[in-house]
Order: sequence, then C-alpha cells, then structure tokens
Amino acid sequence: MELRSKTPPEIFSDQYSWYSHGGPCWKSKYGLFKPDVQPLGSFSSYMFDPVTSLNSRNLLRYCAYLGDFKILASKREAETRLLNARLTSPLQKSVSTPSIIAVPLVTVNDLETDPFLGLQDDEPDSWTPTVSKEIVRKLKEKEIKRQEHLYEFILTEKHHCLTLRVMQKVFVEGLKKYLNLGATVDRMFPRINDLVELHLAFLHKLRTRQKDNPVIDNIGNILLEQFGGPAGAALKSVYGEFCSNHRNAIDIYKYYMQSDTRFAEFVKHCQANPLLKKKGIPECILFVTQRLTKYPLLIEPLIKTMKDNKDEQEKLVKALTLVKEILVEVDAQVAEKEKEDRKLEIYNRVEAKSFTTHKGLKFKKSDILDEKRKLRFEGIAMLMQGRGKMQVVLVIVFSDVLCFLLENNHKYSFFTPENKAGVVSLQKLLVREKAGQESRGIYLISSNPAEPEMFELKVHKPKDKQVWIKAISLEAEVAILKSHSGDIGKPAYRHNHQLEELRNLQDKLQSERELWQKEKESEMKELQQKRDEIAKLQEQVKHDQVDLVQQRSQLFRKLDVLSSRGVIVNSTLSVSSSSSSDDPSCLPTAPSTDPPKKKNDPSKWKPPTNGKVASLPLNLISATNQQKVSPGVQVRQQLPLKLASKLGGSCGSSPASPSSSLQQLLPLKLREDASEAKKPTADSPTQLTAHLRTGSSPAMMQNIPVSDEE
Amino acid sequence: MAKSYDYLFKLLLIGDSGVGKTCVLFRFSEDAFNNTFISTIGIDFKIRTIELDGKKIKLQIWDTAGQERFRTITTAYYRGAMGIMLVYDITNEKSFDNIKNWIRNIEENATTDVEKMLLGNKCDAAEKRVVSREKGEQLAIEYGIKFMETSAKDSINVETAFFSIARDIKAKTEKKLEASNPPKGGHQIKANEPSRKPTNWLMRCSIL
Repeated sequence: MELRSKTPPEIFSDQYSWYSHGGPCWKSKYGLFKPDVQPLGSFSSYMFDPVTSLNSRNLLRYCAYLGDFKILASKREAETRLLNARLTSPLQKSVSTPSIIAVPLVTVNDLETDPFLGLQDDEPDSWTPTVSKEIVRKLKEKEIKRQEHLYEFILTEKHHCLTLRVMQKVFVEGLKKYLNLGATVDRMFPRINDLVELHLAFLHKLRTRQKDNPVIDNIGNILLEQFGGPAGAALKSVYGEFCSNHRNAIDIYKYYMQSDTRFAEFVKHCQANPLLKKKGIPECILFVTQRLTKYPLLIEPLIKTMKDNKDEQEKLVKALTLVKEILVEVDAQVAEKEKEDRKLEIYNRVEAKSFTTHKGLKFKKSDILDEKRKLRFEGIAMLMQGRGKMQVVLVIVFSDVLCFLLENNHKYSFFTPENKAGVVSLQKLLVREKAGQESRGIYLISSNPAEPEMFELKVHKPKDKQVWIKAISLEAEVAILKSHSGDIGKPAYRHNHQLEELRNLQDKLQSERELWQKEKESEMKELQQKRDEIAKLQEQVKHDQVDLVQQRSQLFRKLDVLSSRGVIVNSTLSVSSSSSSDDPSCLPTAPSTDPPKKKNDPSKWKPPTNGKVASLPLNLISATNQQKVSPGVQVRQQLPLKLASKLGGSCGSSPASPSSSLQQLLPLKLREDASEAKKPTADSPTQLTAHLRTGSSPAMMQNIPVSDEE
Repeated sequence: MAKSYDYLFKLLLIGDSGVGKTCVLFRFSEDAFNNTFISTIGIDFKIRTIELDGKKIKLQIWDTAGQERFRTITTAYYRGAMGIMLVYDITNEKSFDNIKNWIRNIEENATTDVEKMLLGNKCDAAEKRVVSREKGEQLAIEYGIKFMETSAKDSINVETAFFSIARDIKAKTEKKLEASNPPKGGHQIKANEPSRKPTNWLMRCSIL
C-alpha cells in the first residue's frame, strides 16, 4: 500500500478528531458501509480519487478501531476495486479529476441574494454616469464630490458582500459538499455566515437609501445603526474571531494545498470562476479582514464634505468613532489571540522535564497552560546574580507571575536563580529602574512578606528600560487589583478591574488636564499683563515722540540762533569726538552724551544704567516728563537722547539702514545694557542702539529726522 | 533585537486591474505573510529585505488588492509612499493609455518627490503584444522616469526593477540625510578640504 505510507499522520489525526467530534454527521454516512450492495457501489464510484480514498482509509482505521470487521471487509473489497480501476486506467489523473471538473461553477444566479442588492449587477466605478446629466448639472461641484464618495461607499460595500457571498457559496459550501471538509472549513472561515448576514443587511439599508433618491441626502443614521448598538457589537465579535483566526486559517490552507491534491485541484478549479476574479482562499480572507479598516477612510471625506449639515456631520463623526472603537476592539482580540498562540508555543518548546519552584512547590511546564494564566509580556534580558555573574534569560510575564527561561537549541528550560525562586508572583512586585542615564538596569522587588526577593535585570538598551517597567508594573497593578477582589481570574471581575483601571486613568487624565488648564490660564494672564505693559510703554513712546518733536523744533531754533551767531556746526562732532563733548562750552545747548565718555566715567552714570527700576526708561526722560522720574536719577543730556530714539525708530525699520552698521560702534557697556534691557520694554534695545547716534553731529540729525518726520 | 535593516522603503504598485501587479509582487517578495494586528492589516503589503552597497534595505511593497479603482480608498495607499511602480500590460492597450491617468492620480495624492518607474508587464506574451517597447520608452522619457519590460511569469526584470527603484530611493534618502545632518557630512568635507586646498594652491603657485 504505497499510498498509505504517503499519508501524513496529521491527516489521520485531524480526520479522526473530526469523526469523533462530528458524530451525527458521521452516522448518516455510516450506513454506506453496511454490507448491502447499493451504497457500496455508490461509494466506490466516488472513490476514484486518491484523496477520497485516503479519507476512506482513515475511515478504515477508525472502523478497525471500533472493531467492526464487517465494514472492514467491505472496505477492503472497495479498495481492491479502486486498485483495479487504477491499474486498468491508462491515465490515472484523467480518472481522478473528472469529479472536480464536474463540479459546476457557481454563477451569479447561484448566489441567491435579493436582486435588489444588485450583487449581480455590473455597475460603473463612479457615480456621475449612473445619473442623468440633468441632475449632475444642477449640483455644485462639492456636492458631486460628496455623491462620488457615497457611491464608492456603497459600491465597495457591494463588492465586499459579493466576495463574502462567493466565499460562502464557492469555498465553504463547495469544500463541504465535495471534499467533506466540514469542520476544517469552519476553522478556515469562522463565522462566515454571520459576516454575510451583517453585511447584506447593511447593504440593504444603503441600497434603499440610494433607491429613494439617486442624490443621497444622508447616511449618518444608517452608519450609526450599523456600527453602534447590537450590530456594532456583532461586528466586534464576528470580526474579532475572523481576524484572530487569520493566521490559523492560512496555515490550514497551506497544509491542505500541500498534502491534499484534491483540495488543490478544487481551489484551482474555483479560481477559474470569473466571480472570484482570480482570488484564491488567502486573498479572500485577507480582503475580508481589510474591509473594516476601510470604513474610516470612507467616512472621513463624507465628514469633510458635510460641513453645511451639522446634524448629519455630527452623526458621521459619531459613526467614525464607533468604527474606530470596533477596530480597537478587534485589534485587541487579535493581540490576545497572538499572545495565546505564543503561550502555546512556549509551552511546546519547554523541555518536558524542566521545572522550577514557586511558593515552595514545583512549577512545571504544564503550569504554563493554566487557563487563567495569560501571557502578557516577554523579553530577553541579563539576570544579574551577584559577584558579577550574569545570565541571559527570556523573561516571561504572565498575568499573575513571571518566570525566567533559558533558550538552548530552540528549546526552553526554566531557569532558577541561585538561592531564589524561579517564579515571581506579580502581587506586591515593585519595578524600579537603576539610576543613571546609561544604566540598563531594572530591579524587580517582591515585597511580599512571605517571599521577599530582589532581582536585577539588565535590558538591551537604556530606552528599553521604560518599556519593561511599564509592562511589568502594569501587570503587577492589575494583579493587585485582582487580589483585592478576592477572586482571581473571573472574567467578569477582570472586566470590572479593567473598567476601574480605566476610571483611574481617566481621573488621572482629568486632574492632569485641570493642572494644565490652570497653568495655561496663569500663562495667559501673564501674557495679558505683558501685553498691557507693552501697550503702556507704547503710549509713553507716543507721548515722548510728541515731546520730541517739540524739542527738536526748539533745537532747530537754537541751532539757527547759533549758526546766526557764527558757530559752525560740522561733522567732526560725530562719534569719536569725545574731547569736544567733554568740553561743555563747545556746545552749550546741544551737548552730546558721548558713549566713550559714558564708558570712561561709569560711577557718574551708574544711576541711569540702573534706571530701569524707574517707572520710565531713562532714555525716554525728557524735559516734559522729567518730574515722573524718581528724583535721585540724574539726567544730564536729554535732547540728543530723545533724538537718538527717534532716529533709531525711523532707521531701524529698514535692515539696510545705517543704524545697523552703526550698531557695531556701540560700546561694550552700552551693549550690555541693551541686552539687559527688560523684555517687556521691547522698544528699549532699539532706543539704546540708537543711543550711539547721540554722538553724531546735530547736522546729521538735522538731515535725517526732519525729512523723515515731515 | 538589533534592527534588522538600515532603511525601510515603502513602495507601491499601481495600474489597471489585471495587469499583473499582484503577480509581480508575488514574484519579487518572500512569501512573508504579514501577521501584525489589524491596524496594519488594513493594508496589504509584502516585505522583502535586499542588500545594496552593504546596506540592508527593507522594502515594504503595498498592493491595492483590486481596489485601485476606488479613489477614496486609494488615497490612503499613496500616503508616505517613497516609490511607485506604474504597471501596464503590454497585451492591453487600455492599461497603457491609463498610465497617464495614474500619473495624474499620483501627482494629486502622493508626495511630489516620489520616485516613479514604468513597467510593461507580461513581456513573455510576445505574440499578443499590442504596446511596442518603443511606445513604453517614449512615455517614460516624456515623464522623465525609468522604464522596463517585465514578466512576472518568466521572472524577467522583476528583480532588476525593484533593485533599481530601491537604489534611486536610497540615493535620494542619503542625499537628504546629508543635507539635514551636516555635522557629520560637513565635518568630513572640512577635514578633506584643507588637505586638498593647499595642493591646489601650491599647484597654482608652481604654474605661476
């Protein structure tokens, strides 16, 4: 029996388990093997295929197991017939394939859906061709865009329904009917019927809306109904199961493709069906898992184009949050399943005899499988064992305990640290980081009075530290919450704890937000204050400007007088002419406060430099506002100062103006002053910058400001 | 634990239904089933890590899964794409004509500096050819992009095409990195410059 040796043992166990589980289904077939002629004949006729015969051989073993020798005998007879048929048939393949080729292709008509849903219709890809030009012409461009989005929503929903229905009719029913793979099919396409039902109902609502008016007004309520309430809950559960099973389904598919030629043939045969558009089983499954993630993409543009209708927009926004909730939930279920699979993998890889201790008892590999024990986190770290001894371990964090594993040759074994327990309870477990920026150390401190213990772990990178601390301490907290409730592991309780946790987090968030709000308010107040101050200062500046104009005209007059008296005003007075300004007699009425001089005689100028305490910046002090300044301040040279500020104001406006180059002449001391100047008095730096201009000749001042001012 | 690659590039295959995008992708990618959570399941991509000039480059290639016709949905595909393969079928005139529409679509939705490449697939089916090689080349020149004829079936040029686009993106990325990270690059140049300048200067001197 060459064929039998080829049979993978898994098939047998798989089929066997199916037989033992699918009792009732099997009993109906059971009759086939009663030694009456008719059923036997029909059986052998469909046994020309190696796969069926393979199944029947498993059956044979099953029968032998049951000790039903009568069946065995008739079975043997059937097998001889099969062998004879094989031997006599010139082309074995041509004998085995007809049964599959004969499987009629499922057509649109076989989908048995309401024609109203339009699954069978060939529709254009965009909305505009589906309505009369008359209607399109009446609409605004934005509205047309919205209709296109809506149309795409419905059309893609239709495609999804079509895919689901085709999967159901072609693969699920086909594999059940022709290959007897009932249970396997259900494992490959879990809850496909629920999916079909949910989506057909959804499409029905959408189609009704579409039929009412080709220009759809709103779909918000339909979406709310679909993604919220019982339908939303159903979506969470159905997609949760379908998506969690994704990997498993692909594994089953791959296994059958490799080991079951009839299955492979069937799939190939089905893929030729135009309804499937070349999609195979993995593609279809992937397509289904993706649909949920498309809804946000489809709803978002609807929200954007619905700005005029607030009510509808609100509904759409709500629907979007509901969809996202569903996605998060499904995501969580997939994650949970992955962790579960990983737990099983860990179990399978732990060496059979390996064990460690937990609360003085043996902790064996079977303890991993404890149903309440969920895998939460894992990671590779260095376990420090004192005296510089280290051991690389895989730290496994379950929902209640954590343990250390050693990896060797793809096998795991428990690791028990020296003089310590190998399993640490998460209850009262503190996680602390070892100080130091470059430190990669974490301390696990079990503060449980019964078993106080401390472990030091070194993680891979310093930034991994936080990930570890977060993950482990979160589980530790949950474990504490569980222990408080007194009942560990009851799903309902756990749910409550999660809720409680959530509430705590919310509270925390709330308080943090309040704090932030307060901070923001005080900052705003401060800003407002500063703004007021600036406004005040601006007011002053304006006032001073007026003052300045007056003074300038006075100055001109005096200059006129001077020049009429024959005093020549020349440019030598500018910048470096400190000696001339040292002599007050040189320019009795218009002396300049020379920067160099200021530098030379700091003590004399001390009060003015500290003048920022005064309510008025020193450089703004003039004849008219002098009384406002504290009497202690000694103001000597007001006029040029004023002028300078004016000059600075006018010149500073253009970056290329001479003032910018002149700025470099500013003596050190003054520059310090400038940088010292209070921020709120934003004007002061420019005024101080302009200060140096006080050294420039009045003639120059005469030129620039006048032309500027008038 | 260490990162298994130096660069991660997101590539996109776009073109009419039935031009063989998925086949090209299957031919190129490892049979890596993406088993991450649903937040990423929403996108169907295949991964292959290649090596270029000693750098490991992880190519994440997205497929439109037959939804290329739907604009609302496809905008999400374009987000963050660094390279786009425009695929047409040499036995299908319409798919070639539509390349222009696809390019317009890319211009609307993808980043402006996305690397593009034109692929004429199914070049094994010479007897059914309706789009000449020259026509493809002409179009590619028109848009200033690279062009290649491929066959997913006979595995012609598929590898070359992906390596070529990866090389171009890598060059672009490295240029950008250098520009935004002058301390390192700049320093190197400075270190080289003094040694180079004196020789130049001396040379000039000797000429003088």
